[in-house]
Order: sequence, then structure tokens, then C-alpha cells
Amino acid sequence: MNLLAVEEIHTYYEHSHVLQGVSLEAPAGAVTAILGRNGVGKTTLIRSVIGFTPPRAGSIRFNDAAIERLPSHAIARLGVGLVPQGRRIFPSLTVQENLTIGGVPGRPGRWSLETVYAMFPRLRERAANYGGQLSGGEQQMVAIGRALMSNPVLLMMDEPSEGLAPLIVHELQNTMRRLKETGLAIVLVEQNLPLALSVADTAYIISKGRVVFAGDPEEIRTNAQLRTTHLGI
Amino acid sequence: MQFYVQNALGGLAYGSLLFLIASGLTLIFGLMRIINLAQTAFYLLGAYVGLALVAHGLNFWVASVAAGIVTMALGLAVYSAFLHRYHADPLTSLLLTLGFALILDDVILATWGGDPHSIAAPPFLAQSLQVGGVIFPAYWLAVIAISTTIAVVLFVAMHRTMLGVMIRAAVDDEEMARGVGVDVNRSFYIVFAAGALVAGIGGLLGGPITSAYPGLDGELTPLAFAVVIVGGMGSLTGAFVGSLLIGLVNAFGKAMFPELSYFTIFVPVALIMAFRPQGLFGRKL
Repeated sequence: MNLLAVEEIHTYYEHSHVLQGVSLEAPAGAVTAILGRNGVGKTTLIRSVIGFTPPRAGSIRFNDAAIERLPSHAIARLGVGLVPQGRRIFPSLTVQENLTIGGVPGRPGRWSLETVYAMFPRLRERAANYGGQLSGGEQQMVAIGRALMSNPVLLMMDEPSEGLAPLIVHELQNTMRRLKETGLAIVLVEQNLPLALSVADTAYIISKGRVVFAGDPEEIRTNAQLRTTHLGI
Repeated sequence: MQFYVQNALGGLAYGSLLFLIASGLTLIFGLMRIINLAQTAFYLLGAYVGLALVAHGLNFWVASVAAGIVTMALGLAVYSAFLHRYHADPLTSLLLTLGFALILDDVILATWGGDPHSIAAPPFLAQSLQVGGVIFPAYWLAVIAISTTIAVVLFVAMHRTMLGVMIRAAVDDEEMARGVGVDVNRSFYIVFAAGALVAGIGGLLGGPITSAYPGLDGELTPLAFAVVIVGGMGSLTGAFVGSLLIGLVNAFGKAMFPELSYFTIFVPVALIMAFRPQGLFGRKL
């Protein structure tokens, strides 16, 4: 059964029709990669699911419940964790506060301050530092930790490798693999194609607000025409 | 020497009152982008309601808190009936709060008349203290102490409680706060209510210093805004430091250049806006 089912959604910014009937399915426990060039609507898709920019038409079902009309905080509390583009750490909160704010009372599970610190020991050292004082890699750890604190069943990661040094991207890859092993479902928007293909179980390619490919990531790796047409690589 | 100490104490006492108004103003703006022009009207309402309660025999301090609660109830009603729809819409909310300030002014005028009401300090604080060569009302010290205590309570609430963490997160990035599960709308109600409560409590507390008369709110509004600009929008620490600064500048300005009193207040405001537009403690704009 699909954990997340997006059906024929149309999302607008003012008068700009960004998503023009996008459908997508993300099964439980798997990594679903969303690929595409800049500005085709990948981030808008994430924003639609979390409720930042609700779709004007179409439906979004999570755990078989309609969520497309729910406010963002209610969607987050149902178990949708978000690692947003640009990470968006709260600069006037300490690292520890950035993490605790992600916790949802009444959603117990494997993730707590302790287990997040165990996964990212660096954050324990930085616990009292403010969000504005962190390096890019540390910010990414906080963003992931903050999302995990709610014990999500689905983690949406929007361009997590953006702006990170290659070594840190490698760590990020390991982190994603470990999260997948815990049974967490991940929806991954990523420009770094090798990274995305290395962790994805299924892949979607979006172009100009529509899904133009859905299937095995292996096909993207092998089909050069697919890559040149829709990914520009 | 006596001149400086006297004006410094007076300025700090006046600044302490400004803090009770400006703390709500800055938090409400920082969190919801609502410029609450009714904030000083809440203060004035608190003064009159408190005065009426004292006239009915209620203890001064109890009356002050009770007046704060009445003001808070009114603030919550205004917020939930009208304002909550217009957060992040500064122009509409500005006009709405201006409208409510005017309505409140007229209600006060109709209820309590146009004559100024002087408000007596509680008897045990009514005398003047003489320290060295300086003579000043004991009540000044009480106001400074109470306001500082309220500042500490607000500061602890903002920095040591989960609610405070949520509010600071929403000031930083409201959308992302929602995205991690924070019910930001609930914080809006709480902050608006707290702002009205503190301003309402301030009305009677400040009475022995400012007394109460129609138009007092209009005189306080520019000062309160000066505090918010100097301290930085959304910063509680900024509101506290800014209040004391503006209080001092106001006191010394009036004493030394009485004909330029408004000028002396808005010189620091202009300097801040020119060289540090985010204010002393605000985040970069």
C-alpha cells in the first residue's frame, strides 16, 4: 500500500500554474526520488504535500487520509517530516531548541534528543550554539534531526546536498541509507543525480509541471536520451 | 549631581512604563506583522478600569491586575473577531487597530469624561525618599522593580519554556515553524493576549506617574514606537533596553532642552534607522 498518494494535483503561485496535474506514489519504507531541472516544480510538489502551498485541485492522501486541506502543522504531526530546501534552521534558537521544537507530544518512537545526538555526535557538542552560527553540514544535521524528532513515517528531503562539500555529501548518503534501514520512507528531491540514484528505489522525473517519467532509477542511469531531454545531463 | 540622579531615576521609571507597552508591541509585530496601534489605548483602558476598581475599594495591586485581565479579554475579543484574519497583512491590520484605538478613546471619553484623573500611589509608597541630596518619589523605585520583574518573567517564558521556543521559531520563520508541527495560530492568540494583559496592568501602575486623561495614549504611541525601533522589532531584550534608553533620553531631553523634547527622542531613532535599521537587538532585515 502507498504511504503517500498524490493524485492529479494542480498547484499555483498566484497566477502561475506550476504543477499541472502531478500524480505520485511513495510506498512505505522506500526511497522515492524526484528529479528534474531547476524550476520544474519539484519544490512546489514538496510544498503542496506539507501544506505550505496547498493544491487548488487534486488530492493528497497520507496513510489513507486526505491531507490536502489540512494546515501544515497538522500534516507534520501526522508523521510527515520535512527537511526543506535551504534547511531553514531557526537562527535564534539553539541547536537543542531547534531539535526539541521538532518533537510532537504523543508520537513516541525511536527518535529522541538522545538518539538524534547519537546519530550526529557533532550536534551534542554544538547543543548550546545558535542556529545562525552553524556550518552548512551542521545545519543539514540539525534539519534532519529536527524532522526526525517527530518520529515521522515519511521524510521529505528537498535538495539536501545543496551547497555541501563532497565529503559531507558522502556522509549525507550514509545517513539516508541508515534512515532507510530503519524503515523510514523518504521522498527525495535532488539535483545530485548520482546521489539520488544511489539511494532511490523508484524515481520520478518532472518537467514543466508534469510527470514525464516514473519507474526504475536504473533506467535513468542507462537511458542517455532520457537524461539529456529531461535532466540536461 | 542631584539633577542627573533625579532625572536618571525619573527616566528609568518612565522607561519602565514604556516597556510594559512596548514589550507587547514588539512581540506582536515580530510574530504576526501586526502593528498594534491600540496597544497604548489598552494601557489607558487599564488605567481607567483600575481607577474605577480602586474607587470601589479594591486594593491598588489587585485592581491593577484585574484591569489587566479586563483589557486582555477585550484584546482577545478584538483579535479573534477581526485581527486574526489579517496577520501578515500590515496595512489592513494597522487600519483595524487604529480604528479600535479611536473607538476605545471615545468609549473612555464617554464613560469617564474629559478631565484628567490623578491616581494616587498606594499609601506606603506615597512618600518621597531623600538619599543624599536627591529627593524622589518612592513609587518610582516600585515601578522600576515591578517592570523589571515583569521583564524577567517574560524573558524566562520566552527562553525557558516550550511555548517561548515556539514563539521565537515563528518569529524567525513562521512557515517553517508550521512545517515542524507548531500550531502558530495558537501562539498568536497567546502573544496578543499577553501584550494586552501587560499593557493593561501598566495603566494603573503608571497612573501615579502619567495620570489618566483622554489623549494620553496618543502621546505614548510615538514613544512606544521609538522603543521598538531602537530595540529592534520582535526582540524582548531590545524592548527592555530601548524602553530605558528612551525613558532616559525623554527625561533629560525635557529637563535640558524642553523646547526640543520631541527632537531629542527622535534623534536616536533617526540615527538607528540610518545606521542600524534592524535596531540594537533585532535581526538583520
